[in-house]
Amino acid sequence: MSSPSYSGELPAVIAKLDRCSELLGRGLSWLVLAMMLVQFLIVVLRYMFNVNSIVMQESVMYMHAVVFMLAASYTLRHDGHVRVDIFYRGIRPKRQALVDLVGTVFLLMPVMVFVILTSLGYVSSSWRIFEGSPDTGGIPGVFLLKTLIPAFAGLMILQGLVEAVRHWWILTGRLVPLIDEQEPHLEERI
Amino acid sequence: SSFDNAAQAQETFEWKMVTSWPKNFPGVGQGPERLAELVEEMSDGRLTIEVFGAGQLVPGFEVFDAVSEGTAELGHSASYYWKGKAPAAQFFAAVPFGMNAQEMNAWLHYGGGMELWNELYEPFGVDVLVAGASGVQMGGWYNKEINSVEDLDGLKMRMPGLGGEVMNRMGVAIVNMPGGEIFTSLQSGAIDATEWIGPYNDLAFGLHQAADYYYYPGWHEPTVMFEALINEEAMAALPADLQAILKTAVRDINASVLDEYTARNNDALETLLNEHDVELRRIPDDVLEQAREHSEDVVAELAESSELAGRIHESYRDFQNKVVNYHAISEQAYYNARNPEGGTVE
Amino acid sequence: MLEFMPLVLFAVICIVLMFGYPVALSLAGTALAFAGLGMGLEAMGIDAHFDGGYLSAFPNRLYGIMTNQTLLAVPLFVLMGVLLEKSKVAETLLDAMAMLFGSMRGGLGISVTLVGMLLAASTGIVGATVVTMGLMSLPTMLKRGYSVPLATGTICATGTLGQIIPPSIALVLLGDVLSSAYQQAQLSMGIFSPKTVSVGDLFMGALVPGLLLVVLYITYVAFISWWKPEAAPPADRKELMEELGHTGGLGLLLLKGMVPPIVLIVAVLGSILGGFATPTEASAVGAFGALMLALIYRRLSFKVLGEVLRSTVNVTTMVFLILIGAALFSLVFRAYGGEELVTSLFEGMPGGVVGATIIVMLVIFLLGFILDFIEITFVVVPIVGPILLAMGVDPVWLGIMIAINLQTSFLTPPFGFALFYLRGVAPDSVPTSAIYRGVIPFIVLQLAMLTALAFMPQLATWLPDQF
Ligand code: NA
Ligand code: NA
Repeated sequence: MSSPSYSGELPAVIAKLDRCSELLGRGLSWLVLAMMLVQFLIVVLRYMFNVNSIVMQESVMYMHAVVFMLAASYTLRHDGHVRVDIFYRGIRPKRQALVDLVGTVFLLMPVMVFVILTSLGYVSSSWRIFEGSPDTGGIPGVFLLKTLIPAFAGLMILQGLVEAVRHWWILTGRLVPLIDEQEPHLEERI
Repeated sequence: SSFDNAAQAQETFEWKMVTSWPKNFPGVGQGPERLAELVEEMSDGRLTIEVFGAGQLVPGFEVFDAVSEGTAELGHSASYYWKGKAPAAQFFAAVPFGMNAQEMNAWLHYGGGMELWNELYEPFGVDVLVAGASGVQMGGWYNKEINSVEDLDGLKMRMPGLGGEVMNRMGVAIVNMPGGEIFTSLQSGAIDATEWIGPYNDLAFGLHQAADYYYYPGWHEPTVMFEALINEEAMAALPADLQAILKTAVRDINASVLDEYTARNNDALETLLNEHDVELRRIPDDVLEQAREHSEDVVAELAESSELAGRIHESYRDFQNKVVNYHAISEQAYYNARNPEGGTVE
Repeated sequence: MLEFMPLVLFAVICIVLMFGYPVALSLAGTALAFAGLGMGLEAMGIDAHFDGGYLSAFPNRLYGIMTNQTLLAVPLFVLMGVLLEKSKVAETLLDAMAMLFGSMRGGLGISVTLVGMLLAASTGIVGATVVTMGLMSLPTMLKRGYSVPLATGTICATGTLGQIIPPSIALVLLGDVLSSAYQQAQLSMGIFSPKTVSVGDLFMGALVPGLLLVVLYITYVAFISWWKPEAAPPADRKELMEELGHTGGLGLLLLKGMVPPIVLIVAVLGSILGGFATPTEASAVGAFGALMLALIYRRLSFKVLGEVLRSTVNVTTMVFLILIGAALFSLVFRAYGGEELVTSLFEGMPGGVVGATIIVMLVIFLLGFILDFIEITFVVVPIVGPILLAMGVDPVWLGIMIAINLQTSFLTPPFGFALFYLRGVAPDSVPTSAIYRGVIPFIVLQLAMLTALAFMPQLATWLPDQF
């Protein structure tokens, strides 16, 4: 999935946000590799050396949570969240931009604000006691793990802002989505 | 005025109770259901409780937070799940080589235990009542014979909590896994052993189909005490009579859960031995001996986690020492007199 | 009227989804709007049967998703799939398999089904299997001129096999809940040394129906390639050899193209079945093996690795955002009393055991559109399980019926999860309508299997009874 291409420029602040989001996503993607290697190491240690580390086990869970919570906005940027696109794919780009603008404002934004509001008390009481692991010998960072919840929503709001502006500019003609040079439709093969 | 009292008497409360068990889980899952029935009947419908199994409203390990935040007014769980919030909470659920259910109930209700427990939960806005016990558990299901301490070296076992830490120090590789993976992991050999609860729940879980040996006794969990968590504000908002009804009903399930376990475990053990030809084994003495030594270290380290933990440990240890002395000449002497061979009888 | 709000919510969500805004956010956003409506009505003194207190459970549920160890396997299986795809290992495997089946029409489709079965057995997570299969085999099938519906249908159907072919996480969860329900049913009948049903029983019960489904799929692909040769063209061995730029003998190609990935997949599967690893561990071994294969074949540059990782992140976050959206939806659904509504509708229907079973299957099928396996297992089965089991229904049979039923539900347009997942990874040139059309024959096969199982419970119960 490539980054979207347009002729025209987004406002500077928005474009900067957009680039930060891209960098964050690219950085996070390397955690997947780390996660795999650590989990593989766990298997090797356990089965070849009969050694097990709860910290390593938990670290895989931490990396996993960090990736899917913090990179959700990166995937939004790349239009990677799956749609029921029976009608959507057939309509003109401006109509698509309208659907996305309305969706961003009335579906995405309220949900993410809701996530932040409901999680603040939950997260702050965890910070108050620096909540540790429920497992003996685990990573003492549950309060950090829980912080991913408002962080996820915050990042989604920022990227939602970028997307809203992008769709608004497409709607008003200030930004023109470039038609992808793709392989021809496969309709004829059905 | 009497008018106010009448109005207050009419006020009804609809509470939610989240639990750490699947809905209707055999044994411990019956406690909350019974509590809800009792409270509704005793209060003539003025206080109704809707019981949620693990994951229905919140995940099983989120019960404490849900009650603390007021998402649910009540919770049913076990305090060792909250060690990440307050390590000393483990004293009130299960301590390796610690007190059994009868002794725990004595300490909690008449030895100052409940006061310490409530002090521990006070900063979270949670009141606590003891709400059931499992009784002495089983040592676990093994696919390798344990004939000496050496056999533990490199053993892969699922055992959470303080018991797991003790085993870890004896050379066991302690593994964490979700409940759903335990059976297959044991069956496939991904782990060599797991502890679960006692015959009643173990039979229902089908662990006899995945392991060769059933070891006893459950030194790591001489009982688990279950807890009823109550949101402090919600409790304060209840009229005094409903508070009394709630407390009485919890005291009832505290007994009934243990009674049910005692009765069902008997039948289940018989089924396991006679119908499923399970091989029952006693954990060797030298293993128990070493586990006991490590347990002392582990518990002492836990006592150092905070000032309050130290006081809880002191109270717990002092009570245990006294009750061990008395029970040596009462319960233990009687068990020995009743069944001098010590084994199972026909 | 207001007591039917859960059904209205369901209907409105169906409509909102049609506009094409991302599924996860449509689910969550619409549910939240309904929550606002419910609270507004309650505030105005109108009894909307809405309990706003449920909403505060959302962070707890989010944290539950984050710390769910079973789901750790998702990104790792995805990584394995993306690695096998981007390094062209999977393509070579399928080509080699197609060459092995040589002159046979539909040989590639059959190879995909077999490869899919291997993968399904190892992952057992619908999202991961469909995504992996989609990334691995869809481009290859399209390149070889397969009809789009046949290709996507085969992939979706084989992808959902993961929950029925053991070892399966879905069956483990179901077994856990069913054993409680079975015990509960017997306790309610006054049987105090109850019989048990275990996860192992369910695994054995699922084996015959699962393998029969594979046979049905293969038969269908073979039939289509005979009936409509252009839909599943044979891969010409000589042409393929030239296209691949392969000059050595066929034997060498098979050795190079087939043996390593099959060893890898068998290792992953074997490490679970044979007892060396849990699914999460097996997924890491699989991904590591795929990385090694890609390195050995010299198809992994730093740039390709970056692409692989970013693709993995994209797919993983897509799957998990759906889980998050579904979590909010199910909270609001229950806050409106949706659970009780479903129960009361179910209890109000006549028809004894057969009628009750049909209704339960229908309800589970419909719920499968919007809830995932885990939620249905923990929400619906505890409600309906004890009722059915107390009527004398066999627990293993019930479990397998539920599993195949849900598998069918995940395949059924427009809301099947498998379809969403495949849509997420299929190239834009594949029309969604083709995906929908492609699964229809497989849904028919699934229904045939369900019917056979309904009339011949031995298909599920015979094997466990032998032990
Ligand atoms: Na236990
Ligand atoms: Na499977």
